[in-house]
Amino acid sequence: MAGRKKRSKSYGSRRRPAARPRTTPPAPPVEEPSLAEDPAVDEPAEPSDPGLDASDGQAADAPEAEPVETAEPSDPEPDPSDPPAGERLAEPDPDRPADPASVAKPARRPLLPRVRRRPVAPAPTPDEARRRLFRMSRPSINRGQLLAAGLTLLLGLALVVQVRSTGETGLSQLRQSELVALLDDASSRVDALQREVNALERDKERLQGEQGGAAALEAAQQRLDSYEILAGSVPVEGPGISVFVNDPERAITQTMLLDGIQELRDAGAEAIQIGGTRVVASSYVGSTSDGRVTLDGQAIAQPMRILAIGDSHTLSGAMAIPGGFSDSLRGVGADVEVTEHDSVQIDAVRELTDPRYARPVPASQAP
Amino acid sequence: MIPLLGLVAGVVLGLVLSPEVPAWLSPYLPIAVIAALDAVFGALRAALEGIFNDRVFVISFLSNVVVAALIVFLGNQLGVGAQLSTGVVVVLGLRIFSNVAAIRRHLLGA
Repeated sequence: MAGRKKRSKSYGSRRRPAARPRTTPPAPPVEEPSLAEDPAVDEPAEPSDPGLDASDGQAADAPEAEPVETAEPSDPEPDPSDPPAGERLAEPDPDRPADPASVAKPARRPLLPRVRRRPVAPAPTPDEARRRLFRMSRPSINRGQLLAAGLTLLLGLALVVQVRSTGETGLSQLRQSELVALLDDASSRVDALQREVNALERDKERLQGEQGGAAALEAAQQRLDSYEILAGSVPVEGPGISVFVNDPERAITQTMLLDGIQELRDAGAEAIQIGGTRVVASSYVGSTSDGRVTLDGQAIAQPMRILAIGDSHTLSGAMAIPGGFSDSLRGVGADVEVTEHDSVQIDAVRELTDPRYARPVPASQAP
Repeated sequence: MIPLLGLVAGVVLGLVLSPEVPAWLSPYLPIAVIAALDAVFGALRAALEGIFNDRVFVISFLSNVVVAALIVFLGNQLGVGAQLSTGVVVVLGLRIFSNVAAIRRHLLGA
C-alpha cells in the first residue's frame, strides 16, 4: 500500500511540471512505444543489471511504469479485460485536447481519476516480454524473491499433496451420505450372501443326512423340472397372458416378432408359445421367399396367438410399452389384443435333440 | 528464478515426503491451491509487464488463499459449501485463463 501511494505521488509530482511538453510522447499510438520506451527502459536497465535485478520489482519497474498511467502498478493481477492496444489508442485523446485549452485545471483534474483507475499495464511487445522473462530466469537473491520462493514452495507442496490425496480417493474423501449408502449396500449384500449360505448349508445337511437318497432325488427332480421347462420339452401351465394378433396383410416383420419375444423374455416370461411353436433357446425368426415371417422354419399362421407364462401383469405391461410390440404392430395396421389370465396352458413341446458338437466342460476345468 | 526453484522444490518435497492432509484442512486445500495458482499466474503476467512487485505478490498470494478458504468455510457453515466452492473455482479459473491469455499475448504477440 505504502509503495503504491508513494509511487503514484512521485509520478504525479514528476509529471506535473513537465505536463505540457511530455504528455505527447508517453502515450503515442501503437507502433511508437517500442521506439520510445525501449531506449528509455531497457537500455538503462541493462548496464546496471545487478542492481536492477536485485530489486526486480521496484527499480526496474519505475521507469517502465512511468509512460502510462499505472495507479496501482504492482498489482500482480492486472485487469485482464484491458485491451492492450485499444486502451492505449484511446487514452491520448482526452489528454491532448486538454493541453492547449487550459494549463492548470486539466493537468490536475485527470490526476484524481487516474489514481483511482484500475491499473493499465503497458502491454509489452513480445521482445520486451521475452527480455524480461530472460532477466527473470537469472537467479537473484533478495528477501522478496526468497519470500515468493517460499510461497511457491508451499504451493508446489500443496499441489502435490492434493493431487495425491485426490488420487487415493479413500473413504475419507466421501461425503456422509455416500458413506451411508455404501454401508447400506454392503450390509444388504452381506445379508443376501448370508441367506444364500444358510440355504446351501441346509441343502448340504439334508443331502448328507439319513434321508440323503430321497432328498437328492427330490433336488434332482426339481432340477429336471426346471430344465424341462427351459428346454420346452414338457407342457406347462401357470399365470400369464395371451396375445391375439390379427394381421391379415401380413405386415409383421422379423424384427417386430423378435422384439416381441425379447420384450416377453425381458419381462420374465418362463415359457412362450407362438402359434403352434414353443419358443426355446434355439428358436430363430426367419422369413420365407415371399416375405412371410417364420419361426423355427415354420410360417406363422394368421391370426397369430402368442401365449406366455410369467407374471401376467408384468408381461401385459411389457406388451404395452410405447413404441414396443403392440404399438409397432398397430402402426402397420394389425389388431393386437392382450389378455391377462390366471392360468395359461402351453402345450406345444419340442423334441430334444442330442447336441452334436457341444460337450460340457468338467467341473474342475470350468473357470 | 528462485520462485520457480521453490515450486520445483515444493513438488519434490511433496513427492518425497508425501505428507497426509490433516482432516481439518482437506476441504480448503484444493480451493487454496487454485487461488494460489491464480496469484502465481497474475505475478507472472505482471513480471512480463514489468510491474512485478514481490510485496504485492506475497500479499495477494496470502490474501487469495485466505479469502478462498474463508469462502469455503462460510459456505460449509451455511450448507452451500459445494456450490460456493464451484463458484470460487469458476471465478479463479476464469482469471487464470485470462492471465495466461495475457502472458501468451505478451510472449508470442498473438
